[in-house]
Amino acid sequence: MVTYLDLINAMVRRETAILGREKVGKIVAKAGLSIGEDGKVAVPKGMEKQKLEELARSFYEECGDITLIGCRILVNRLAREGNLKLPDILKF
Amino acid sequence: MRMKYEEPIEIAENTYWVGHYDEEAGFHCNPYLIDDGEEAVLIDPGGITHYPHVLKKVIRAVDLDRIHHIILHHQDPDLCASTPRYEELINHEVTVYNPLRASFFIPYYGIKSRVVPIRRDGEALVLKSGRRLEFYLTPFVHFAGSMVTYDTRSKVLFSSDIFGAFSFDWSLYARDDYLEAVKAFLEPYVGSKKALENVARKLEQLDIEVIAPQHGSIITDNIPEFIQALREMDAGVYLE
Ligand SMILES: [Fe+2]
Ligand SMILES: [Fe+2]
Repeated sequence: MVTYLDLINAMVRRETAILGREKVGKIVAKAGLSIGEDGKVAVPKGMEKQKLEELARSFYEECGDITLIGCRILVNRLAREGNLKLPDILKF
Repeated sequence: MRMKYEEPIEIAENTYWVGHYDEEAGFHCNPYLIDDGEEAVLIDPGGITHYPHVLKKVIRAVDLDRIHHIILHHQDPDLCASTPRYEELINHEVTVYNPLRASFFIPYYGIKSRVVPIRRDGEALVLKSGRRLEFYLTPFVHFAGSMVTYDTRSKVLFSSDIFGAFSFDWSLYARDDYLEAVKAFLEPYVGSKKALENVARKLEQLDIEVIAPQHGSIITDNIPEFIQALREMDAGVYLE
């Protein structure tokens, strides 16, 4: 079953390919999160949906529309699989 | 070690990347040049903004008057717009190769050269040395009239927007996670899975050693995996 945490990790992985490890590390840190050795983001329980939106907003604010164009299709596909509601910023 | 992006970079024998690396940009264009001795071929020369940088590298690599052929893989400004500037500088007629369905649009850039419209797969530009550059049409990936070029000598595929990427953290050669960046770029721009499958089927027939896209990074490893990925990508999602 796909979860909001899966969406966060998929988005971070995608953005890392576009923006590079360093930039993404900074953006994730700004959202009060960190990326572990395994490349996965740890998110406090119950905060996943909120952090997904915060992260999407931060990617957009730091690096513009390319970041959202680059991950929307992926995130929407996963959200559909998990029957998860997306924040407006990630919708088409 | 960082490469010297201020110079033309040889990516295969007598084949050069002549692009401009803008460290602030999230999107990079890759023009290429084949120096085949008597004749040189400029591939997707680029837009106006990068033109002074690209020209400098082209001149460093070859005498401009050796350029006899310009390949334009489709009609977009990021690859075509500087073509008239090269026409002004080259002291003889050049020939432009462009897919038939794009060829009605490129005169609007002010391109005056004779245009050879590419109509079918396998049509080729055969250079005086015998080197054969074959064209393969890639309809709707992303424009109706789009193509790629396969250099049968170097086995380089000049793939145009296919295998291109958005890249803030750009490098000339692809890193491990490059496929992820390719998906980020291609999926929002291609309208049909059928169109991507068609491209995959064509590329699977070619013996490719290097993929040189017009954006993003050059691919030398796991080429079958990249071609297979075309079959698995989402497309046309904006139509749903
Ligand atoms: Fe294009
Ligand atoms: Fe392009």
